[in-house]
Amino acid sequence: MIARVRSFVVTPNRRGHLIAVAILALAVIFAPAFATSYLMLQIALVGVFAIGAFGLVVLTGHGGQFNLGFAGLMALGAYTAAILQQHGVSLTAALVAAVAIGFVAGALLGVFAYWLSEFAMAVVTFAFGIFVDQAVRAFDGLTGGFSGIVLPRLSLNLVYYTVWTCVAIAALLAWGMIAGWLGRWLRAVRDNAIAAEQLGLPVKRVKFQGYVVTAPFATLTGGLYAQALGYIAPSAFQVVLSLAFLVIIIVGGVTSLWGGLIGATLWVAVPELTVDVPGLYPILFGALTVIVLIVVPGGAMDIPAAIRRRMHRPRRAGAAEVDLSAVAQPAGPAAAVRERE
Amino acid sequence: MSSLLIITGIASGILYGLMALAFTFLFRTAGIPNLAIGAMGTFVALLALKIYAPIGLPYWAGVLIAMLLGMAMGAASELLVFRRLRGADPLVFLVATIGLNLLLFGVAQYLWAANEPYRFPGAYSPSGTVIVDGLSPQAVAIFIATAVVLGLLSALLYRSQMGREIRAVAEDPAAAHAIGLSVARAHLIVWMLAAAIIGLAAILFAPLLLLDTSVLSLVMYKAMGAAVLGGLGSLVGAVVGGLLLGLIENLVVPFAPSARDAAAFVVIVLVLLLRPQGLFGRTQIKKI
Repeated sequence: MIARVRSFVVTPNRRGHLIAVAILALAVIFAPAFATSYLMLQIALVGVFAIGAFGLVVLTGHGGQFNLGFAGLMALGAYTAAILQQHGVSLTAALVAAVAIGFVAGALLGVFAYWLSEFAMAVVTFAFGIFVDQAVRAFDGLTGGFSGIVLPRLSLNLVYYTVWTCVAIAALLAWGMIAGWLGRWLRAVRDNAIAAEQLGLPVKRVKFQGYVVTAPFATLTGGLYAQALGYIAPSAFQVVLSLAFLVIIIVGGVTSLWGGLIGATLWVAVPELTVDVPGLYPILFGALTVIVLIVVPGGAMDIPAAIRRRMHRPRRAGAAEVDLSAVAQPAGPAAAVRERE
Repeated sequence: MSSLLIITGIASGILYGLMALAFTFLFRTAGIPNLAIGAMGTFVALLALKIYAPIGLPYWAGVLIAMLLGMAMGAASELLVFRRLRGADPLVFLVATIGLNLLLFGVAQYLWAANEPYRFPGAYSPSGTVIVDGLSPQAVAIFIATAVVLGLLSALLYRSQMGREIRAVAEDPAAAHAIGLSVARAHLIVWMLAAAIIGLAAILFAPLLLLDTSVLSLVMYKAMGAAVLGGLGSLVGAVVGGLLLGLIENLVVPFAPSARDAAAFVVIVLVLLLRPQGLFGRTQIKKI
């Protein structure tokens, strides 16, 4: 799925997407008229996670770079916003501050991309997540330590519409990145860094820029998460959350913003439906992830295409082979092996 | 500086080392960064406990059972999931193992979360016995087991025909296939071995850890760090990386108790900055 660009920007029929956006916008705007306050909170949470997923779609889906420090970034944004709000700063200013600190943290992480490989970056960003977690617990004078911070009470309507306004802005920005020069450069780096370098692309700088512009998505997610919960503590940002974001974008479709939204929806909805049975939620999500990767490597956004492939496939070809042809890069030893087997 | 801290450091370091060994082995031979180590280990150890304890078998039988269960689980992962993904992007493997981790964690929670944490009968029945302060017979047994596993694995990889095949497949799957080696068989063997080590590590440490369904996930992250520290790809490096990590985080405790987990990762980041290929890694020349 990495090799194939399935961004909605690139598909020729943009009309379908515009219609879908319009329907979604209407649904979100008018949902509060029908929904219970509990459901509204859940819809708001979908929006919260979708923003972070957008950032990861750009960085990981299009750039092929890892950021396993998403939970740390979220915590950073959440605590920045919450501490400012405690001191009487307005909601808007607090969220802007959360975004701003995202740029700083993104630059801090991105600098490492100048001399580390992708896998080492995964470890470094992961270390960053642990570091933030420990810092939050250590500076308990500022962050409230284990007991956390209670935010000023906001009305549910305000939270709901703030979140979805942010989702709209974030989606627009992410779309611009994917469609614009940054997206093109990131994809070039992802698909073949050496070739990109030969063509004169500043590969390391592109990676750095990728980290800088996507970290604010995560911190904004954190800032909004704090508003939606009304209360934050270190336990809300466990390292597992960083891995969860990867799962979210993979399940939805790693290069598609719609996929990020679908993944976020599943992430919020599945636990709601499975609270009664212990362990059922990770079982379902884990199984879903593995099955998606095997059956529809392009994620939920790829389901129609996968069905089409299945219907038109030659009689004797195995299912896995057909699907794999969509995932794997056309060149390389692994592909050669598959062809020969 | 008390010797107790050093001994605890070495003991926990070997756990990281053994897990890192499993991680490195699989990463190097099949290219799969396995983030399911934690859940696989937990699952296998608890399942083994449920099998050997009721029958009244000794602990060592339990160790054997855990390794066999690990092998079965490794084979199942390869046959059901990773064989179908072969040739995919590293990101796909990474997420697949995260999915597997979630799945196994969920099953373990469903089956066993109600009665956690679990107390394992140790290798020597009076589990309180110590040789020196902080050094139990169990820790010594683990130390020996790790050395044996490292030795056997190296011998297998570098001194046997099967090892040569595995290395050939790791080096260049297409070329290995062209000269008649079975990529599928090599990956199956590698998965079974790696998972057996995971099972061994989990059950050896269960008596020391008070195993619950989530305690091994943090261990897994540390093991990943240890593998990177040792220079992904070097088996000895993985064990040494684990030892270093265990020592560092325990030696930090007297100065800054709350910085235990952070200190380990700060060291990893520093090492990566100075030696991006890790302590024991070789620099690789990228092919175009």
